[in-house]
Amino acid sequence: MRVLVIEDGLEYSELLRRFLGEGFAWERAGSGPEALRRLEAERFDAIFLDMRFDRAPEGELLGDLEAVADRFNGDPVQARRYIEDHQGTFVLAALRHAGRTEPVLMSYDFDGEPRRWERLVARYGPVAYLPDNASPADIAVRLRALVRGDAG
Amino acid sequence: MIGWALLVTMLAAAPAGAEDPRVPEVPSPIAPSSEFPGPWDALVYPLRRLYLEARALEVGGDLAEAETRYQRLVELDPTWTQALVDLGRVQEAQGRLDDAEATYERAPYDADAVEALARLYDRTDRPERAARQYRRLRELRPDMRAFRIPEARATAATDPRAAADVLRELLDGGGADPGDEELFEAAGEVARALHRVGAVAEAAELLSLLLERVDPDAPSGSAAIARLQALAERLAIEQEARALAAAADEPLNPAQHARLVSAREAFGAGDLARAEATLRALLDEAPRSARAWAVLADVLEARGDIAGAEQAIRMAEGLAPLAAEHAARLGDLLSEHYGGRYDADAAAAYGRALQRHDAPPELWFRRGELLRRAGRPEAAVASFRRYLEVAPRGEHAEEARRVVEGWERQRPPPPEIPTAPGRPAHVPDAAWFAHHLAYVLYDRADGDPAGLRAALEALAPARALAPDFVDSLNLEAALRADLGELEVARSLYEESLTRRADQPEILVALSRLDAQTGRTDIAEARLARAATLGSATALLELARRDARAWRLLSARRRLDAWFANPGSGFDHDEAVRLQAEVQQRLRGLIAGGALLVAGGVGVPFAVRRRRRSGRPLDDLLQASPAAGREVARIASAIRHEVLKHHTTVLGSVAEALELRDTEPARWAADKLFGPTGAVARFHGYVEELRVLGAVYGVRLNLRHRDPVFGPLIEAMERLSALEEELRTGGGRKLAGELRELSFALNRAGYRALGSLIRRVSLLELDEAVLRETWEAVLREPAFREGPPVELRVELPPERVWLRIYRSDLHDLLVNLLRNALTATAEQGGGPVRVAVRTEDDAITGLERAAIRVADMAPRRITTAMIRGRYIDRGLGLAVDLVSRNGGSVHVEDEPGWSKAVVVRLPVAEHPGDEDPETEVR
Repeated sequence: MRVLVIEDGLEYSELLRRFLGEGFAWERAGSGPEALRRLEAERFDAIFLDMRFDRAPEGELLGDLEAVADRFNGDPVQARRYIEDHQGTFVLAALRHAGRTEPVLMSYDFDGEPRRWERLVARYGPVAYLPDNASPADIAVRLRALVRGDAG
Repeated sequence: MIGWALLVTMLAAAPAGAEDPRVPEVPSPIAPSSEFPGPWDALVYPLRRLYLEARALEVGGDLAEAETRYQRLVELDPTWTQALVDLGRVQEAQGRLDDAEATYERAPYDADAVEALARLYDRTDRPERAARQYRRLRELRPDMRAFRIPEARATAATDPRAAADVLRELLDGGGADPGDEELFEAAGEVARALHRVGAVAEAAELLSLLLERVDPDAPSGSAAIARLQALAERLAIEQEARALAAAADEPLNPAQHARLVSAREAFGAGDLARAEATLRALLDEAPRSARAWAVLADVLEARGDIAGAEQAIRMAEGLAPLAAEHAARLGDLLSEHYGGRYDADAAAAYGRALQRHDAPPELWFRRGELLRRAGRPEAAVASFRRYLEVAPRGEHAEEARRVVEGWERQRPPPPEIPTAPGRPAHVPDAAWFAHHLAYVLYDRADGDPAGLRAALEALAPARALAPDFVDSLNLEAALRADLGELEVARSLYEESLTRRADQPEILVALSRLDAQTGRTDIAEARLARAATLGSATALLELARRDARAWRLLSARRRLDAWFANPGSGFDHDEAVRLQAEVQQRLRGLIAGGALLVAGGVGVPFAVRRRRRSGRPLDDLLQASPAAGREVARIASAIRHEVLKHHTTVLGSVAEALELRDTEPARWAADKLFGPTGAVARFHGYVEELRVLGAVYGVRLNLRHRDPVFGPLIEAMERLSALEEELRTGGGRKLAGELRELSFALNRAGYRALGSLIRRVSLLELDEAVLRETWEAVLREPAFREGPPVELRVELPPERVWLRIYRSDLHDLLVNLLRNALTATAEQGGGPVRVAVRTEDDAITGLERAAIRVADMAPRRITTAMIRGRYIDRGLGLAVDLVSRNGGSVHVEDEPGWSKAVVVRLPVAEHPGDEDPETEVR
């Protein structure tokens, strides 16, 4: 299974390559725009998407800083942080807006936010999630299920 | 003369080929020229016919007949040397090399004959003679470059520098393809020859020149570059292997060792003269002891004899080239005492140390500093980069101390030492070299399986040629152990001990294997045996185990013994740290006054007292709610920076260990331990909490009294105790422990931290809270006498949990309601409405609570005015509080009311299980 890991660091891609070598081929994109470019050019079976992008350069972050700043009394610092903290959803929205239909596994704990999760699934499915304390084995199981069509 | 005339007549009458059916027609081998006379033109016609016949016979394979005719030609016209060359060639082809040599030697001024002779010498492995002929050829054919490559190869055997000159000339003159196979082979031979005579820098220069000349855009350019780089690497490895093979660090016997200890003591006591005298006497007796030379270097440096110190440490490095510490020490000396004059040498010494896997990462930084000072900024940057790679958060080494200016003393000549004992008689040369080559590859592999396998492959000839050579046996065992072939390694080590019992370090290695496979009793027994045989490593390991098990007196005894018989310099820091820890614990025991026996196990009173004292985190949060924000931040950081990506791999590491794959365990150990590892970061955050408690006057005892952090700290301590096993690759027992820790940290710990964060950062906004606040505001003196104002509250059907700290919410609501009440009172009264609604964000799906506070006062403010801290309506504090909690304030229209001040704050859907991490950064 060929999976595009979208994260601003190298942690997931390194960890997944190390512990889930068999049956998976992991590629990495460091930002939403890079992911969109790669998806345009290559075929992937699934996408593994981190939520927080606090190391990505500003130019590589998706999201309208000015519009978001209005949510924080016009404070661009908080807006930037908000965009970083939730960049995963900005990327997800951008993927679907661009017509990408690959299933997405998000690394974030939505367990306590069922309403939010329902909204995201309705808007941007097929998508599943795992909390970021998930082990590589959990990730493998969930990805396989997702590609089979079971978003879980 | 008669023969000549007869032959001429005969040949004229009977052309070749017509008469002899064996002779095929062949074209003339020498192109005739109509413009310039050549050797062919000088030949009379009958001889031409004879020559053509000889050539035809040679081409047809009849070498004997051809030889007869060439011979005849030589006799008939001795000046026509072409026939000599041809004659020599057919003689060579028939295996009569001596005859061929004699033939060629008859034409010492004919370039073809000289070239043929040179090639013959090459072929018969007489490079010196070949080189001489090539040099002659250079005089005869100064413009011809084709033979420069064989010339360089031949010259390399006797004069590598001259050979390098030949190649440089060839490259400088153009026309040579640096990617050419023959040139590459020749460069390799010349570079190796340069290495053999110690001209390492010249070899590197030659390869650099070749690299410079390779066109990377050429079709085979990148392959040629890779090949040259591989060659350079290989040469470096071979150089180390040679150095190692020539090295002969000699262990000290007990009496000599006692003198070394005595010298150290004198050094420690400041009696430098006695220390030096003792060491010099010792070195007279044991001149091949690297340790003694290293200590002498310390003493001489302290005495101000820097040149002598340098000489001593160079001796130590030469005797033990695989020990990083001596090269590093040399680098220190050169950089610190020579006013920058030897910065390049010091950087080179650090470079050698860094090729050893036990070198500290700080050396990369120091090397970078030196290279920068030495005017090599690019190399310095590369070194700094490397430093950042290996120790991204490491503390920078202090700037190299200010160098001693004006140090002009000459370095003394190196002392003579007896020849090293070298290769044992029963080990052949090839096995000796293969062993050392494998050793260097092993050292460089630094645990990488591919490198280990390469070392094993290199070792194979040594094992085959000298199966009794114990050092090779041990090396193979070490390689197998690192490759995870633990049982094979064990049996090899045991075989080694049956061949030579007196090997304490092998006992230590075996004990590690035992420990990895759960045979702890045997492991300890082997360590004890190794310690009695004088192994400092075993002593330190036993002390470590004693300390871990609170056998403090035993640990102290062993450490005392270790310091009397110290191991490597890099172990020294660990021993000092352990000694301090043991002393500290012992002092704690003494202060406690007694050891109490509890449940059959002695538990120090001091420890029990420590466990009982102090308070849990909740006490801090209740006493000082303002601390909640910091607590939440720290808990969130632990979840994100310690657990995520780090301890989450423990389960997978356990699975790999069960499959006997130890590599992930080592990888995980690198991430978890060390000054920047996850465990250190965790303890740093725990320390932050302790300080936070102290700031608010609460002495926290998170380890023993806190339900959230207690188990986490305990799990981290257990994890730390497994570091060595992780690095050496434990077995099933370790896997089981890792699974338990994975649960404690990644499941239970993660959840507990989440709950803590929620507890301090989520508050329910309900009608009771609003009305309580409203009543409190009404009781304020400003409103006690005012007109009655009605509060209307509208809440959504679902419960609303705000992400806000308790004190902030109270202050915010008071501010909003006070403001509304003021405005309404100014109008002579009327209702105030607080309506709470939830809204969700289109992209993130996150909900916010909009708290709309509407009144009937005339509109006098705008959003911009509020955000600009327009405080006419007293909203400045509200704006600050909202901003601090990730919300916003707007002034909006509200049908039926004059306006609404709308505060939007992030909410949590449910306080139970939600991940609150991103909101409390």
